[in-house]
Amino acid sequence: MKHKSHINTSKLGFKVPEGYFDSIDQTMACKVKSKSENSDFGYRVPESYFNDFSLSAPPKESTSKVIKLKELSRWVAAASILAFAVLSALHIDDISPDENLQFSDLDRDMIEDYLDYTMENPEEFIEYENTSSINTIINDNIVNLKNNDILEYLNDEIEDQDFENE
Amino acid sequence: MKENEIIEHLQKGTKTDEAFQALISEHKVRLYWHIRTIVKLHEDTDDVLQNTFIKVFKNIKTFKGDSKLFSWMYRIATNESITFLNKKAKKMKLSDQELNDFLIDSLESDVYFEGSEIQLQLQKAIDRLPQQQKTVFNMRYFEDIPYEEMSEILGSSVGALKSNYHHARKKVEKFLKQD
Repeated sequence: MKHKSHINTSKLGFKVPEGYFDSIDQTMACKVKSKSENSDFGYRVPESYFNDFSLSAPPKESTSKVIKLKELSRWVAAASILAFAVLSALHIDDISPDENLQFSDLDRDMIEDYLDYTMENPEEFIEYENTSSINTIINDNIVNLKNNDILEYLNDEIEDQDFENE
Repeated sequence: MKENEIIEHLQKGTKTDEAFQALISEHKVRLYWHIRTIVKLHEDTDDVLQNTFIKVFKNIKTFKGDSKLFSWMYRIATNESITFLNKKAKKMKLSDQELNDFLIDSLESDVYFEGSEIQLQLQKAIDRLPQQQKTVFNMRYFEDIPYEEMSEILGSSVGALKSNYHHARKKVEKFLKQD
């Protein structure tokens, strides 16, 4: 039942390696069989790989809260402000003048030094060099004041003093 | 082993080695030359022949006997050859025509080509034909396959095949006269 080859190779001019058709029966059969039995990718797996294949779920990891960097910076800023406020409150007594300070508590030498200095440099303690201008300002304001305003002011002052005396 | 026995063994999975070896032995030469007329180079032909037999072996169970086994295998070989050339063109970043030109030029230095200058010119002329005309011309001129068998292999009518061959022959003659 062998098909007769009608090919006219002399027309073509092609030739094949010597003994090519004699040797391809066995080699071609082996190649084709092994290629068609393997996967199309050409990869092979170890014997009984899929039978022994098992997969255990990985242990559940403890989840940690993720804090965004922006949120963290806000917390740092708030904490810094709070810490500054607390420290400021602790040291506020050192900054503010001591209200319980008595004249007798002052060092005598300090008082003398202070007085000497003010006597030597009186200009630093006089706000207006020309006192006449101060008087002018006071007089002008007084002139502008109405009698009722003066009386009202005096009444308030008297009432306050009475209240304090009580 | 007769053809129907080969088919039966391969489809049932009995005596597959023996049956397959008989199949290769029976059809290897004709399939080889059919593939060679399309892909030109011996090494490429060897690869395509191997791929053809792999396809046959894998798909033999789907063969229903509507056509001759050889026609069915011929169709697989034709498709495998064209697919191979398309892949080669893509791999070499060439158009189909550029690849054909490259293959014809390769023949001049190919140790498995011993054709004359006229035969080389004939290959160049065939190279210019559209794919269908090229296939029909090769099958008719070189392989001497009857139109009826060709019709079964290519799935075209005898009239269409005759027309294809006629136009192909005219073009080849024109090319050879010009050159």
